[in-house]
Amino acid sequence: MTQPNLQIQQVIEAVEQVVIGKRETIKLAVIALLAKGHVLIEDVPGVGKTMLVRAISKVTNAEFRRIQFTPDLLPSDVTGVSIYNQDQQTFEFRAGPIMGNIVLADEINRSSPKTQSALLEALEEGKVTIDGETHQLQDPFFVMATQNPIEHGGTYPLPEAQLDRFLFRIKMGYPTEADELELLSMIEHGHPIDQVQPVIHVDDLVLMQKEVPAVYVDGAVKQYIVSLVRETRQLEGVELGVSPRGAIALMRASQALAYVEGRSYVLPDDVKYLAPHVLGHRLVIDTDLLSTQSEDAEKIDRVLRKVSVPTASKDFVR
Amino acid sequence: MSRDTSLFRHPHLAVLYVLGFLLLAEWLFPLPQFTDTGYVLVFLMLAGFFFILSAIPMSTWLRLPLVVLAILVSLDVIFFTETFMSVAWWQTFMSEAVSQGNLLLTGEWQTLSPMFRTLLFMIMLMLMSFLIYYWVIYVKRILFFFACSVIYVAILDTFTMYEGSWAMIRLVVIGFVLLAYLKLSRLSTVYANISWRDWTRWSIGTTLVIFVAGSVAFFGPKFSPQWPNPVPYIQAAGGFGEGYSTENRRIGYGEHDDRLGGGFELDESPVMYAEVEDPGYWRGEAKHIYTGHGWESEQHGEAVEEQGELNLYEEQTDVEENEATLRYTPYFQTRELIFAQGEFFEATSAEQPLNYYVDAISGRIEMGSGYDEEVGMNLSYREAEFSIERMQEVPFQEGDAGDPEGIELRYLQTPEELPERVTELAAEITSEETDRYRAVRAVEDHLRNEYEYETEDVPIPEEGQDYVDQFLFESQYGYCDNFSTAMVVMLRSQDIPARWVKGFTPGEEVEDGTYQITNANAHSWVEVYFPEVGWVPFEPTPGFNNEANHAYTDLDLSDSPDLDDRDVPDPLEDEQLDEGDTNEEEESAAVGSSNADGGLSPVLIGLISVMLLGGIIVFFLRERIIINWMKRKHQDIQSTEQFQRAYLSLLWLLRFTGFKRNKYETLSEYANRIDQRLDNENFTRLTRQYEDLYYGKERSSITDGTNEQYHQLLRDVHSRIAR
Repeated sequence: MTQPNLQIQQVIEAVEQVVIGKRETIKLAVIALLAKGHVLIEDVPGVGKTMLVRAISKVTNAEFRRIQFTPDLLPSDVTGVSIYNQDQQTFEFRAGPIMGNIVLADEINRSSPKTQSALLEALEEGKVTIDGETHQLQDPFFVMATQNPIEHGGTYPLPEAQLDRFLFRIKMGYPTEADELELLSMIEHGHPIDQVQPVIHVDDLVLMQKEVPAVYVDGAVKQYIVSLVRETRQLEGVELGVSPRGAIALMRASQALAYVEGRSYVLPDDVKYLAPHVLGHRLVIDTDLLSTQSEDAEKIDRVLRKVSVPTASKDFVR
Repeated sequence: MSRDTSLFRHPHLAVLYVLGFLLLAEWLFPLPQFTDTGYVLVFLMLAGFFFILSAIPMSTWLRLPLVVLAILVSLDVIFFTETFMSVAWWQTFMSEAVSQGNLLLTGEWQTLSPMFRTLLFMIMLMLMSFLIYYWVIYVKRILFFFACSVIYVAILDTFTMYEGSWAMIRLVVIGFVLLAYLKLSRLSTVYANISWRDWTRWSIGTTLVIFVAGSVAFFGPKFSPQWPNPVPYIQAAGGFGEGYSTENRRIGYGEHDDRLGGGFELDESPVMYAEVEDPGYWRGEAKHIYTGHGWESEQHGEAVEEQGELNLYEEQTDVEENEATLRYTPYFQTRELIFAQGEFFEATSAEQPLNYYVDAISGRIEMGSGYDEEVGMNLSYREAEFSIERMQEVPFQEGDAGDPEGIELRYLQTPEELPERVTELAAEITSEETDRYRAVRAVEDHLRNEYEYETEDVPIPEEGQDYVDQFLFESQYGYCDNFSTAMVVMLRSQDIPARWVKGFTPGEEVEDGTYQITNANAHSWVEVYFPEVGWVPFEPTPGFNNEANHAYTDLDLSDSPDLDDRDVPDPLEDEQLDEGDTNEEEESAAVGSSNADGGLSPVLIGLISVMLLGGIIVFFLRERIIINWMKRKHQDIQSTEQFQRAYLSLLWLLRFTGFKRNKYETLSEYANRIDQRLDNENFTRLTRQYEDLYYGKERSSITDGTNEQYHQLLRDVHSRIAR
């Protein structure tokens, strides 16, 4: 019946050559890319976060930039700065690292909130304004931010409003024993990232991004999304549930997933599969302690179990 | 079952168990309404004993003797006159068991004795109580039995005289308690720490709801039935109405007339053969106490005389002696009675001595024990020729009629609650008559001409409604019981002594001089007393003529204009009656309402057993029945609409067969789970198509192989259930 989108499959497989055993994470990243969303990866250092982003940019032939967030990083270090050119006697814009297609914002919670918000504004607006001058960001523009688990010291946790701007929050996790073994064998004689070849052009990516909103979402599925989101607002121990922005994000992501699967319509399965990734980080827990990812996932799971999946409606069978 | 203590480990099941007993009791309560058993209490106690017995853990070796003992004691209470467990007792019991066992083996169900039938019924009660125990304790289901009970009461209410309203209300209350209780036990599994206060509050709330609902049901206005009585349709559709020849049906000549009304069934089983020259009505007995809804006769042992004679006619009446031979068939329910034409005076048998007792008041002739039913009887009786002139000499309204005191005392009785309009109507009809004979004829003619003869859908008077009043002024149609009872009551209201007589019409001549009388020939008519004449029969039912008893010796027809519109009997008429009108005659045949002997009708036991068995079979085969139905219904899936319907009914089937979809499961998750259990992929494939149709935008056509997948899946589910 429906066949998965072939180009996307190639992308995923190519990335998988480098990032062993993380197919699901890769797929989620690609979905976010297609849905014009951004991804927050929360995990300990050294599990392949950077490699994932690099591989994706290489496979899609996109321009890769990396920003290492440190406590002394300034907003202009992210967005770029206007420098006075004495030869031409003008201010000249020096683009910051954000002016790439795929940007890795490493350890985003290590820098000050001011710098963080500079990045996150760019995420939302798709452009940056420096000295009154607006600069359009590249198309496609995809940010993959990583952050250390919150319990680590020396971090500025991202405010809720900022977390909301990420489409997904993903956890990579340690590889399995077999995968780790394979990883070693693979790295033994040089890094495979150097061998990775582009499989699609960046322009194709832009085209695909435009096709995603054309995926059909039935009223019943929309209802399901809304029910899920509303249910999060009833959750025990949750101060704020998911915002309408979250509902939009869930629908868009589901469309992208359906697109990846080569389907012209969204299934409740898509919604259900993505809900923990889309909704988990949008919950505001009413304790002093910030919740961990797994706690959020458990809460979303409770929501999923409460809401019934639409399977038939009265006017359906005529 | 023997060493199981589960009822004691789960006291909440005990409540369900008690409810189960109450439901069973609802099955027993209606028994006296349509059988002759008067021992419901015994059955109830027995069932209760069985219930307790099933619940107490004990070894089978102890349980079995207790069951047997209980049954024997109950039988003793109902049937035995001998001292319990004495030698004579055992002799009676054993001979009964042996002879009835033989009948059972040879399949002669109709001839089983009441005691043996009751024994079988008791065994069924025992099985039922064990079955309910099993249902409640092991299967933890009682709603099925509850539903059966509701259907049972509804059927009885519809098809028999049983008034099911109260039973329904009781059932509803039981149902509520059941529901509340099941809910409560479910709550207690979900919330472990429910305090006693919560329990109390819950019970109070529940009781209140049940009480309010019950009261509203009781006091609130109720709609009358919203659709016509289904019985006639069912009879018509089932081809019952005629030619239905199961013996032992609850029609024909019955002993109980205390509640008349309702339609009746026909039964052409021959009950006797009569060799007689001049066929007439066969008189069984007269009843004289009208209760407002039926007839009763008083107990008058002193009037019973061994080898006695009937005394119907006064000395002045000319009589002629006649003889007839009567032979009863085994299907005759009341074969201990002797039926005779006219005034009976002797019965003999060439084959064995006949011992009989005559009740001089009712005219009932009952044979003593030891009579072999199938031997022939020679009857001697007197036939009277009533003088119309003498009858016309009895004054009406003015002057003393000269009835003996005993006659006046007994045969002028009417119930106090008799509606005034019955008396008024009778007075109006007879207002112009001055002699008793013409007055009687006026009432007879009125009934014959103004009322419809109808056998089906004859209503039963409601509680508090008079049977005659209901017939005369409301339904205005009916059969012989309606007509004869109405005539007697109307005459009595005008101080004319009259009584209600039942027996058989002459039947059909099968050979020369031999008449076959069937249950369908049962009939009832009227006898009116005339001083110096005696008891004269009259026939108010249209379509019937009691010509044998009416010999108008001194009659000058031109003198009696009142008689003109009455069918004057002649041979032609007689033949017509025997051939053309047989249906009509037969259809008026039911006298009384129930069969004759004690115990339980085997038909009833059979009916209940078949219903139970059918219910159980359907219950256990329900999934298979549904699957087969689905296989047929969705035989060929061509359009997407058909597919959608087929798929949705598939979902329903799976839910029904225990493969329930959790509400949070998406269809493909569900399909995947089911397919793993069924070791197949058909459901997933079908689900993909369905998703395409339901969640997708374009309606694509169904793919090849859909039919095969669908039916393979049905087969898989089927075989899964079979395991």
